[in-house]
Amino acid sequence: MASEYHEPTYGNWRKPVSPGIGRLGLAGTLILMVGLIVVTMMAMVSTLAALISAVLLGLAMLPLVIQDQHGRTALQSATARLNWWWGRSQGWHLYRSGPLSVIPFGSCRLPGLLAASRLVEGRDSYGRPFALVVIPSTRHYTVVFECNADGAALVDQRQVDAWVSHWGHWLASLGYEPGLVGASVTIETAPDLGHRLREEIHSHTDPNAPALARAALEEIVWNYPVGSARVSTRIAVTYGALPHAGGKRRDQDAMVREIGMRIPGLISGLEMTGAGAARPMTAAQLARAVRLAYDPGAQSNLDAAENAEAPWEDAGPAAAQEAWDHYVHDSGHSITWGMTEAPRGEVLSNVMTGLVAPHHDIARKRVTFLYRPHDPASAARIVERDRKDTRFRLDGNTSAARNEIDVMKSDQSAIEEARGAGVTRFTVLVTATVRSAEELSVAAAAVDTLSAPARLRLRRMYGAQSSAFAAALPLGVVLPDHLQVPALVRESM
Amino acid sequence: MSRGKTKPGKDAEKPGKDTKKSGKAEPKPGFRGFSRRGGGRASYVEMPSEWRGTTVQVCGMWPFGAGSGTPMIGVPLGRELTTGAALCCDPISWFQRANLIHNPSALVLGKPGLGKSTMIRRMLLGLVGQGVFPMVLGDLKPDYVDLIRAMGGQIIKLGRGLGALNVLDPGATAAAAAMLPEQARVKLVADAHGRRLNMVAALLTVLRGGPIADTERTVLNAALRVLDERHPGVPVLPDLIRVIDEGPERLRSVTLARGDDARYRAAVDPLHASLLGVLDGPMGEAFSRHTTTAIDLNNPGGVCIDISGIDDADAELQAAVLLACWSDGFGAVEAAHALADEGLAPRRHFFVVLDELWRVLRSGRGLVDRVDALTRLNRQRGAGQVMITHTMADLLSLADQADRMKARGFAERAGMVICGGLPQAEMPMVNEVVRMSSVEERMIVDWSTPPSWNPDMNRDSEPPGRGRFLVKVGGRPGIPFKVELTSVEMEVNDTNKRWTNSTTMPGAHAV
Repeated sequence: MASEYHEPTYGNWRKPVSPGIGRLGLAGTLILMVGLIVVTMMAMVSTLAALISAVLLGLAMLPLVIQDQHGRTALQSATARLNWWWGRSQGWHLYRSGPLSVIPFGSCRLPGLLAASRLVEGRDSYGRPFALVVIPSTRHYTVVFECNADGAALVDQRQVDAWVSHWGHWLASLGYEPGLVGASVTIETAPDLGHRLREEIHSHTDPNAPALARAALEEIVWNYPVGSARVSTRIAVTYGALPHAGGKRRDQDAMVREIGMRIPGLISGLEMTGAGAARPMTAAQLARAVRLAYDPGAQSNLDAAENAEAPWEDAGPAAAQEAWDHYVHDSGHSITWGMTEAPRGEVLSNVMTGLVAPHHDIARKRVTFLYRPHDPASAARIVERDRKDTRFRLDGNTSAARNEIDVMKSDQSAIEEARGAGVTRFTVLVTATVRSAEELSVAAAAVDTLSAPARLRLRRMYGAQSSAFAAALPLGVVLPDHLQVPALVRESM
Repeated sequence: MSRGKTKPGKDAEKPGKDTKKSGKAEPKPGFRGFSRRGGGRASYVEMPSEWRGTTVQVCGMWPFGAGSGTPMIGVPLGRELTTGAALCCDPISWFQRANLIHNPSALVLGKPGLGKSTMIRRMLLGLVGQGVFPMVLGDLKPDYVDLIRAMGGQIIKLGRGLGALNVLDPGATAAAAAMLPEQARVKLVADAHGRRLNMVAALLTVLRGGPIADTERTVLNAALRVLDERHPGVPVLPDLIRVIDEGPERLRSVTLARGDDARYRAAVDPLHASLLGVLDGPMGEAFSRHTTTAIDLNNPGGVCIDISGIDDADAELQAAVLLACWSDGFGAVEAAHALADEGLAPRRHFFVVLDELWRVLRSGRGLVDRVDALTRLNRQRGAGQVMITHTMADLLSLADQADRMKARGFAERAGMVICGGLPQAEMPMVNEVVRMSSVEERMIVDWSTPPSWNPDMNRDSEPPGRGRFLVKVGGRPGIPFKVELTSVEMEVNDTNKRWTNSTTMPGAHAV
């Protein structure tokens, strides 16, 4: 029996493309079509005018056609540059909070996308306290779970397989959650400064114990934490105030009630996924986690004062400065990368383990998996549309073997969907935080070496470091909902 | 509820001088932050490319490959091998404070020479630091004597010409019983009686190499009661024999002698003879005299009963003495608890080390029952215990099927199992008790491999499994860790040479 066992592989994910000619999406194709018609009409009047307009059309199409290795068009790059330049000229790349700043009440609010966010506390159906992160502009309500993953190091592969398949079930079940807009998993590794150990030992040491025992314990307090790391696993689930498109918008109290009822279900679903025992994070825990992300130097103080008050208004950095390619915040220097290409080909379930595990060159690292599940109705529509699109391409260009494989893959997805799997969009953000600007290059090299075995292609989020940093926090920032270009336009580019 | 809301006037200590100066209303954060210089507005937001897949495929990018680590509760035993984080673990804290295990006991398995006792010493040291009273009931090597002595604890030496342990001595129980109210006293005295009976039966079992008959047990029970009534002060074994020899009416009635002396003699003679055998044999010296040194529970350094004076060849005596130590120790714990229950003494926690379990179990049929009866007593009551043996084969290779099943019960009931290096042949047996993944099995077997030859150093290098252990709690993935000694421990460890020297120890092959 054991010999028949094959470790399952995973793959067959695709980058959603809108159908169009060559590299152009739907919008590009339409522009091209209209342009060509105009050129043809020009040609009837004057050849010169036609030539000039053809050249103009070509120039206009150029930014849409030129792509870099990450698949970004020249238009996107130009937009990024322009936006960044404008923001910088306005001084937005700087953030100063506290008493001498523009921030009300001299608090240290979170910068950027999270500036207007607030925390609401509630109790779930089991009476456990939980906190909701509210982002008013998008009307998103996020509940965050702290998990205690067992890790795959000492577990039979079959057990891991079971966990992975339950993880798939959980992701699929998200599609059925009314009003859910996104979910994310954040694996954070941080150095263990030994405060927990010190606290444990000091609070339980008996003053009357023999001197020898006390001396040995004291030595352990100082020796053991050196070089060890802590891994925390957090899952954020974000709901929108609209239960479904065109539904009645729910107010805050309704959302707290609603999400409070959903928490036990979400948690019980997580049990067998390898995430371990999950519990909702309270307001203080969440504020503390965010504060640590922005100010890693405060870890020592925060760890030491485990039960101190941590207001959300003061969770942000006192000062932050966004650069084109990195982000400086309080005591940390960070770089955030985004995934541009999912692992190629087929992968085993341990493909991400190296990426999420602690790395000694990076003081703090957050790897955030962002999921945006499609609801079941659109999932079915999407996989069917994919099948049609791939067949369309096959008809147009019979020779390419790649297209034939595409057809097979889209068929497989459609079958899987029909068998009950959900369809989800996903991406990965990686944030590396170090203590000084000099270490940034080392951390960047380390992330490069980590991303290779994970078979991810990562790209620095140039010009968008502060927002990407915020999105990689376990706070359920759903980036697409913060973009200015409407989703319809974006998806057809 | 919505304490996150920032409405004007809520914050008591608002400085607000900037905002007042500007003469405008409170700046409100916009869609992407405060739109002014230094406002930290996100000037550009970009979504990294999103990919799409069905959930049965996307789940393959499984994010939970890195474990979150263990709760920081208990004695710091060592560092976890995977993350380097400190592992805090001991049966008492994990039972009492962390609620991770069902009862405060641990079973330690591992080939000799891989640092089992070093790990236990660390656990013991840490627990003493927490104010737990350690009891090393029977130290054969001796492994713990130096540590307990360094902590100022009590060392009780037993063995030929060294000291004796009177199995009929109620020990601390008698003193405690005198202070207790009626109901509690009756219970404590009954417990003490049961323990004595159990102990005498155990001695006979060891001597005969097999269990004693039920009728003999009944006679012993009656004789002990008679002895309690008649004998002033603390009786010794010869007193018990005298009672049986005299044959008072109560004894005669339980043997169904019906006034016939010959029938009485026929019933008690085998018992009588065996008891005389105990007196006369190697055990006589150890058990027939009054206890030379009683366990003192008021010494925070703990107690260590050093029985290293008994020769390894004297297996029967070793087993009997070990049993007697355990009985005596548990009796003292019981007495302390009875006092604490009545509020006459502060509640204390005990950590009982039962080393070399296999020596006892091997010494005769029926001893499993005796050990079982002993160790079950204090399961839920503030006494953590750790049983140490080499391999599961020690427990499972007993001659009697019933004994084997019961011995397996020791392992199954243990709240946690801590495994050092074990040979491959062990794994199926261990697996019957705690489920090990193939990775864990491989790791444990690798730890048991001998060290590589080291021609440069004139001795073999450090074995791969030295100081490495795997904590298993139920079916959860194990926690592998390595014990790292502190300089304080290095000084105390007389067996330190075992850490730097060869793997093979005298006596290791006697298994």
